[in-house]
Amino acid sequence: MGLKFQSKWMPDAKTKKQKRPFIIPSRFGFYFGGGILVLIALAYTYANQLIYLIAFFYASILFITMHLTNNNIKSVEISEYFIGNFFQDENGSIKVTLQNNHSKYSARFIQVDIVDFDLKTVVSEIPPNSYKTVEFSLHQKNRGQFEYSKIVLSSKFPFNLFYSWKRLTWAEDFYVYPARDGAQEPPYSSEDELSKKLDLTSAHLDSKSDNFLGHKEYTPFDNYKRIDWKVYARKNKFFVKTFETESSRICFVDFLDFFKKVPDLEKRIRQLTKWVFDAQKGNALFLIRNENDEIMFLDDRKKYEFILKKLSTLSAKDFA
Amino acid sequence: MNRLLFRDYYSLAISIFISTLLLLPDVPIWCFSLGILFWAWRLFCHVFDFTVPSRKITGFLSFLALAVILLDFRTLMGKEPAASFIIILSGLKALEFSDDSEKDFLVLLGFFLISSKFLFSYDLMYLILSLPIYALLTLNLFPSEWLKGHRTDALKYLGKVILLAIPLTAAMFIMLPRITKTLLEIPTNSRQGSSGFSDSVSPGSISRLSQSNELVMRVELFNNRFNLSELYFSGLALEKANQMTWLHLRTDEGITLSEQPVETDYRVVLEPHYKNQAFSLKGTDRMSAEGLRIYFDSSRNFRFDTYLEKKAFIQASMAGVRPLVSDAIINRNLSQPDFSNLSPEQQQQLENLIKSFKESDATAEQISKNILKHFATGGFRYTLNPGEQPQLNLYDFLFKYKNGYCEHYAAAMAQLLRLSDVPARVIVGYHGGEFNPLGNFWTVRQKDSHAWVEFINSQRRWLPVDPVTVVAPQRIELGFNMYNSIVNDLLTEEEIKNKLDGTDLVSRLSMWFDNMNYRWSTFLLEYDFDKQKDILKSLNISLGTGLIIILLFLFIISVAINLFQRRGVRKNFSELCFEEINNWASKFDLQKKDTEGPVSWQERIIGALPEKAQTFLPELNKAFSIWINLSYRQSLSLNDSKKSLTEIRKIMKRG
Repeated sequence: MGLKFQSKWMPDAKTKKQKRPFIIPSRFGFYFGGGILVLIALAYTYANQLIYLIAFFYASILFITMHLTNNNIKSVEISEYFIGNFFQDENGSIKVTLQNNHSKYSARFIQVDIVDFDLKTVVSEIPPNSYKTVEFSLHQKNRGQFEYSKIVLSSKFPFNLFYSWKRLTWAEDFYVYPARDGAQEPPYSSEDELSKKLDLTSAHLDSKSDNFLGHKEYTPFDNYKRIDWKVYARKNKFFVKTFETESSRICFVDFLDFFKKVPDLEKRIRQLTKWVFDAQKGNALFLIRNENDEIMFLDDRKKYEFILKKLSTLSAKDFA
Repeated sequence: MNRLLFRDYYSLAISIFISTLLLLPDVPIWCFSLGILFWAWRLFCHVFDFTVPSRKITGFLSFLALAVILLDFRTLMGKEPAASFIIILSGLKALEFSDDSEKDFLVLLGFFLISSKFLFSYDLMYLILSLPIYALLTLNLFPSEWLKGHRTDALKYLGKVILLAIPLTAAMFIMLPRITKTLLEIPTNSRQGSSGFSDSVSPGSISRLSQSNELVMRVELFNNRFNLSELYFSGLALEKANQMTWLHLRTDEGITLSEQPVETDYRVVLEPHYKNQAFSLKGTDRMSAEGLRIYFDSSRNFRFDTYLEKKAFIQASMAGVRPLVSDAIINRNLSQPDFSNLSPEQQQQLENLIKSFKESDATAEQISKNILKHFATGGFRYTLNPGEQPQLNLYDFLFKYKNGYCEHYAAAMAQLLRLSDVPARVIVGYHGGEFNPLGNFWTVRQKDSHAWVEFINSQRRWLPVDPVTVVAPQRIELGFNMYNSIVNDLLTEEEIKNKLDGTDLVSRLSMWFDNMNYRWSTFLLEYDFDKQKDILKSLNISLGTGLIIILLFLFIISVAINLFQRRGVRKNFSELCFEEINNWASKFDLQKKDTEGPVSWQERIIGALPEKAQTFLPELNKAFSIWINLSYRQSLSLNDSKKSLTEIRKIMKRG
């Protein structure tokens, strides 16, 4: 059994690398350079000093443009690059914020190329000392854990004679969660059933249910967090709130059992994803028992995310 | 897309169209018309929203044009076929233009088109006209989206680029060695020049040339002072006569390569005329031009070894006395015309006239004077527009019409001298010109074309004589331009005086521009490889060192541009502070996570280093507070940012 649940919820710190810009003549730059050589050949043949002068002027323009194109990209950095996790067959978004560190000059016509996803856009101007955010829509057919794509910032400004680029790697991952799909109802259990079945106290089953039923007097089995202090102030006695879901809307999935019973792994994953998502949306309590017989309480966003990430990368090998 | 060119790129279209127009005098009219036709076709598509032809069609037309140019010129090499092809190609490219991405190629064609004009002319006027065209073409290299909304910004940006390019261009022009040699066997006589002379002169042909205002040459005199009436520039010697028509004899007899003048007496900047004629002042003994060989014959008539198709910069020196003439030349110039078609009475009339010139023991000089006297007193008139009279014979001119331009009188006088047994010939060239006191040079135009006579005097030397001096002395004293104005415009005495002094504003402006044009042309022509070597020599710099200086200059410019640009790049003080804190924390194996905010990280450090936190806590808190302040307050001044960084550095050093 290779399936493992990590105990820590925080990912490792990862690094980003923004490299220095490179520059080469563009295709038009090569034509332009060829044109200068033709002019020099003409000047040489016809001993024409004026054509020499014109050829030198073009060469100067070429030389200056090389610096301008390079400097146009030099002061631009990526201050934010974020790909949010999203569900398979749905659209996710990529957010890239470009920062121009120059205090005097605008950076112009910067092409942002998200290489692996073949996404491109051109930012026409980033004023000095300011930011520009661009967003892309991303669609993935496969679930899983993916690396952030390399980003290439490039520019041919001003005269399309040179192509200057900067490659940025961002050692970060994002997840494409499995598609939310399935017709089965979630396996809801009452608090009592679960307490008996899993040997849990009410404190474990503290939930964020929404339908308030009423108050009951506090017992040592109740979670102290559920004490309603306003009622205590009035009656000088401890009362706890009771909710509708406490008896009917606790969803429990025995992970191994669930996957053993159904042969179609993908279908199961999609079903479970739907339950997890619905539970998170409906603030229902969701319990999962892992391979070590540990009960996981999905009682905050990070934990939901964790289980969705786990589902994203689940494969048949994990059950071998 | 049919309207893209004239709607979004109208400035590009205008600049290329004007460049095409400027080439009108330099390419065959059919090439020019074809180029214009494609532009008209495009305009038609624009106005009536017709589909523009596909690339296949324009590609086929380009191929066809190339083939026709090849048939017409017999070659594709050379500036005329090249310019013709570029005109047609740019027209076709404009015709098929339907995509933003084709813009750059059209701009490149425009650059070639406007630059090719300078293969034909150095004229400052063309350069001034071409500057806005260059600017418009370069402006169109900017991204079109930017041009649409930020035209002023784009112009400013372009101005900066040009300002940076000018010193660099000047440095390269002055220092980079530019040797010149013909790379290919390029045909040179593929077009007719609009100045110079043909080998045959008949009555009316010079007066026709005088209708043209085409610039022929500019002449700067150094040592000798000439009056306008003495400025005769000999071009062709015509030694074979057929009635009043005179022909040039092509012969290499006694031809010698001219040496470089020891001392330059005058300098001629000769415009290309696509002939081999070199125009020299009387008494010239040596002529030389950079990149060209000049020969002279035994009569000191100078000519190039090739057809002149680029501007020539000629230096010349003068010797006092002309060489002695050989017997062969004397005999050749004595051949007399055939008068068998005249009636006996007419022949007798002519013989009587010649007898009147040939008094007993009359010298050649005396006979010449007698002929001039006959022209002065015989009721002869000078006319500016005699019309073409190729069939005119000597008898009719002398006894019937008595009316003509310089070539009539020169042809008649040379015939009369020969009939009087004095060897004579007709010389065609230029007389006078306009003096520019600002530049101290003479501007000679095609309208200054002139014909006169040379005869062999009693000392066996060629002696020039101009019959127009007696028929219309004002033509010689004032020059063609002034004479023409007086005769045609009926100028008042004051106007003539103003014109002679050159005091009116138009004349002064014209002179000033002409002077600028001349200086510009001579500067460019003079600044060749030898001049470069001279300058380097005077500075005690070898050619290799010169090249190193250029490279060094390029490097300095490069560094300067980078420094200039970097000056504005603000250091990211927030990141520098972060690095300081991070470096300190890494000593304790702590590193900030990307997902962690500054406060969370601060708490984690305190949690992980409880002992350190006890003593260092207030300072650590201060460091974090400074860092957070720097990160989130964009308006912090540069000095405050620097102070903050210094403080964090100090704190982290203590920690």
